[in-house]
Amino acid sequence: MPTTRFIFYRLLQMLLVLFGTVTVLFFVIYLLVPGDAAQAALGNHATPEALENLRRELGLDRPVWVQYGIYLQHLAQFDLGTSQELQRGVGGIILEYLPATIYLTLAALTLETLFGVGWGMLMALRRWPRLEALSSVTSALLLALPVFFLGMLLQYVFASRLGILPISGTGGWNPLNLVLPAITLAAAQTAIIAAVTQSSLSQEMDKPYILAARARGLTRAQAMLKHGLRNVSGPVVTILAIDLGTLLGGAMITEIVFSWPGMGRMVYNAALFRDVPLVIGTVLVLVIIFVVINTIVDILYGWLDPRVRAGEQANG
Amino acid sequence: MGIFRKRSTKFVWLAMLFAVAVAPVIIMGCGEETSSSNVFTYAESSDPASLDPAQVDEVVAINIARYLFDGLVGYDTETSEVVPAVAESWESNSDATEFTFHLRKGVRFSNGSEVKAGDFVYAWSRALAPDTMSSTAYAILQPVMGATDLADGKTDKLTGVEAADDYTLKVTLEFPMADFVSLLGHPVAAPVPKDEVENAQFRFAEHPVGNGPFILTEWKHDDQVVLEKNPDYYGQDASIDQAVARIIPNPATAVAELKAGNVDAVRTIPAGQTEALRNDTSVKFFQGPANAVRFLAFDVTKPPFDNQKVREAFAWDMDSIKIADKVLQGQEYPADGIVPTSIPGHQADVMPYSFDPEQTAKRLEEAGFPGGAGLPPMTLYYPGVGPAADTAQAIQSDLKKSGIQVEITGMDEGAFRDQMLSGGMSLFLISWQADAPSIDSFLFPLFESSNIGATDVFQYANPEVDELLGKARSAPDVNQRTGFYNEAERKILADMPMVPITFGQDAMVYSPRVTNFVHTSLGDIALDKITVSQT
Amino acid sequence: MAGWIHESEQASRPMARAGLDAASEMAAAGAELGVANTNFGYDSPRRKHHTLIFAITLAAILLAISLIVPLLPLADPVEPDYDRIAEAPGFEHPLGTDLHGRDELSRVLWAIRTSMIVGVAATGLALTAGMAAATVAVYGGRITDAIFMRTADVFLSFPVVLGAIAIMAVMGPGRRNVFIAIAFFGWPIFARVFRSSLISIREKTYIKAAKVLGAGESRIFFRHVLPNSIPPLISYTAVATGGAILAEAGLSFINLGVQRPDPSLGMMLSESMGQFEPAPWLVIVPGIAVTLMVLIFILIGNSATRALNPRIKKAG
Repeated sequence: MPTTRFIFYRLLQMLLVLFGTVTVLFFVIYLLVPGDAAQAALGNHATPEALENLRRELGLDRPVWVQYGIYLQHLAQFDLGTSQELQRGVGGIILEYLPATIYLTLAALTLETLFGVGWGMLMALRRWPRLEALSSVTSALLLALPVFFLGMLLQYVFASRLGILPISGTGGWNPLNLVLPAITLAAAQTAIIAAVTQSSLSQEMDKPYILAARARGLTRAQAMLKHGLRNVSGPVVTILAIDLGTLLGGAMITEIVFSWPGMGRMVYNAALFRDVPLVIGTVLVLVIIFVVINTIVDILYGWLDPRVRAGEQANG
Repeated sequence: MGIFRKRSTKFVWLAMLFAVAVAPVIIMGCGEETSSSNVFTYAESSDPASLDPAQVDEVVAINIARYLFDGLVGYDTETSEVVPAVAESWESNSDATEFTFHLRKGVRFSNGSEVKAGDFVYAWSRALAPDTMSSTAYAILQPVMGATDLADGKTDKLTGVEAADDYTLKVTLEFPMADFVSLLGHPVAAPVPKDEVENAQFRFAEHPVGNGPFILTEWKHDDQVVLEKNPDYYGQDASIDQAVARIIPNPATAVAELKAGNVDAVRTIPAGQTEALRNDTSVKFFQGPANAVRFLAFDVTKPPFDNQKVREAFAWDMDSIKIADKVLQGQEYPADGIVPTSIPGHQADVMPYSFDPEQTAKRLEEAGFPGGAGLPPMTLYYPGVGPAADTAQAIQSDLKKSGIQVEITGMDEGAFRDQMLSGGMSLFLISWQADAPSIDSFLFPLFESSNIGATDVFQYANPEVDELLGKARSAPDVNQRTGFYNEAERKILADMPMVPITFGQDAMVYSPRVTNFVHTSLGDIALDKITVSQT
Repeated sequence: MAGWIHESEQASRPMARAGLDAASEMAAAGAELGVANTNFGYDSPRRKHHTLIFAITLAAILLAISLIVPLLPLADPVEPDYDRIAEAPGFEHPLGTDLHGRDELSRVLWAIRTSMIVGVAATGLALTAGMAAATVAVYGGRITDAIFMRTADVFLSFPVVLGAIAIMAVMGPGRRNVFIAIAFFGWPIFARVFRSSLISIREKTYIKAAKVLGAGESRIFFRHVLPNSIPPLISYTAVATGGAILAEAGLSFINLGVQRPDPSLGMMLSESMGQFEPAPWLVIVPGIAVTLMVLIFILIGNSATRALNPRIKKAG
């Protein structure tokens, strides 16, 4: 498949997914929310007239497909509605909480890249009879440890015992406050990045061009750094990019454990408030970020590697 | 998996080596926190919903708003007596229906404009107007002439308040109320600058401009609220330069932060840690009256709680002593009525019931649910994950023994408040903390029927109680007033729209760095009086 | 894309990764590790079956325990006893008591039962739904296929915990809704894996041969296609079960899952924050229980892939 057609195909796919997401969310609200938006906004003591007025204002007395149209129209104008609890625009609230989440996510990504790639390279360098077992156990443990348990352990050791690191909030963007939440968030991903780096590197190191480089007198380590690493950066970068999208929405439990003022905690609180417009708006924004990043990575990757473009057709 | 068995000790060592190798990298580049030393940082359990004085209605927001805004009067830190604030002096006519306040000159909002009588007229009218959505304005300002009409949206002018000149405020009441002034220390009665409130660029709820000892300089939601000393404050300047309220919802996390030296005081401590903290020599433990009552609330309009006998069955099953001593580990003490012991005029032992499951069984039978059979499914809601959660579990267990099955569901404090005010729950646990140290601030907002839809969360209406509370408000004599209040309290307890469980105490921990920890009798940390060591 | 799923047939899109977050991302990661066989090359070929058998035995024991919990002579897990608060492990209470004087051993076992039931049942439901969707997609023609797969994409773009939050916001918290959320957002992974598997098996020579020999479509499906399409699902299922257990624990940790007083590992941990020093057993016991449960399922996932897929050679 030629590159432009591939890109076009991926973008079309992305739009379809986004449209589907919006539709699913709309019908989730429409079908599952008890009462309606007017009732939710005015509370149980509202008079029938007030309810009727607000319903008319919000278009709730119209058929469902008209409401769906109104909903799409608002979205097209980047209007995500108004939070029931905070009485402010959902978009503005999201923008307020987004920086803390991005800050935390980038820190976690940095950690997992440094430690994950380093760890993977170390393991791919040669066979380490003892270290491999340790590495294997550590990797499985990092994957199995629930974030909240890991977070609690770190809080106990570094705050309660050693008293050297803060464990809640941003402390006015103090970098110290970032350390523990970032480690907690990065732990499991570090194991994945390490595994992927190690596995791809090991295979790469057996390829003829590496063997040729080694025949020219390079050590295994030099050959890995000069040639191997570049050729396996694809899968690693892919994982990192997808992680960026996932972490933005997935940092919720970490944010709660560390009282971190990010999107995850905000949407959690909104869910407890049953603030449906805020929850749905936030989920929508996060899903859009996720899908867009995913698509960009796909396109870049397909652009770099023709095999993927070919594979795209088979896998639909 | 063999590795777990055979080489476990070696792996422990290797794991530790790995950790040791990683730790310096993590800590690298992290220096000591260097902030100005005259800063007091304390942990709060939730983000204020609003800092607009007209809208503050929970302890976190009120504690902050009190230091951003000064009303006509304030309360003495220790005795809770009314003391002058913006009003230098005041007088009333002989039947206590007209009050004249003489305002201090040169009191300024932090935007520079002077506080004048007109600002009070504006603030009170605005607080009562339906659009402001204040849940407390009516409870506080109801005696003012025209307040009811304004709150009902019938007029847009508060007739009972008038600026005679820039420094003289005249207030006319609907009925005589000798104790009226004691209501006015609540932030809802504080002046607000009209042009700032109406500034469309900033929402006043988030950018309050006040006249108190502190100025709001930063509010990062769910993270921290930063207050700085107001350099132009008319009264005595605060000792600290800055107060930072860190929002840490989990009290255990907050205590850990205190121990690590990252906060100086924690306002809510986990019940399970009370004993340990009391005996911990590295922190200071404070316990003082909080003028609060914790109770089990019913929506008396919803079945099965519209049945008095069902409510009585619940009441006889309430083991207050166990809850106070064991479940809450002495953080609170058993309630002997609705009005806490620390309130002037408190009457002892007015509770018409005690813990007696046999009485519960009897009431259930009388209600037509012998042994609990036939009761509809019920859910007991509670706010937060702190003492209320523990209390809820204890209550659930006792009720179960009497055959009453209730589910319990916890909610975030904000969500809980929201549900409570909108009438979404018919059985719940909640604490009420007085706005002012008077019996009135317990009985009037909670049980006077005009507060249904706001603070009367029980939907409770008893004309006799309304009448007694009205009489009490207008009685000129203190003893007579207390008599009416006491009678009303007994009547309410007989109707039992709620079951008082415990009277609260504020249990807080603070760091030895705080050299003078000042707690007000209203349950606030006195940010303007507190001092911290600057080393 | 995704060059990291080296030798499996599904190499094309970030399917195992997509849309999984905090709680479940570790498990999804495990799936990747399993599929990619990047276990740092520790297990020797001789051992791989041993590991699998060992892990499956552990899981079977776990399942057995959780089924017989109601029959065991245990203390009441919900009945408080305020005279015995936070007692250290001893003769009467082998794992001590919690802050309400309840027997910790009893609570942990009941909580494991809840975790297992929610984990296994939700994964089972997601698996069944995914397989059904994939079968319909593959045999239903191009248009059906496209509709089903795009729908799967939409669901895949929701991080599970985020999706769960949306469901909680609308339907309220509780064990049943956790189960629904996990299944609701879990099925598309299985649908995608099973679809690729079905397609590739259908193209295999022996299937074509059976067709030529006149075997009926349904006979071919049940005798040949189905049995041969299932193995690739095994490691995904194991790891997804671990992920579901993590998701349940995470949601209960933030009070959206199992409600008090019923025990759940996540809630037990959140209740014992701050108890590291006064009552360490209250933190360690539930923390280790949930970690070990997830570890067992990750181990099954990893070793199953290697045991079932002889083409994967050892890395390194």
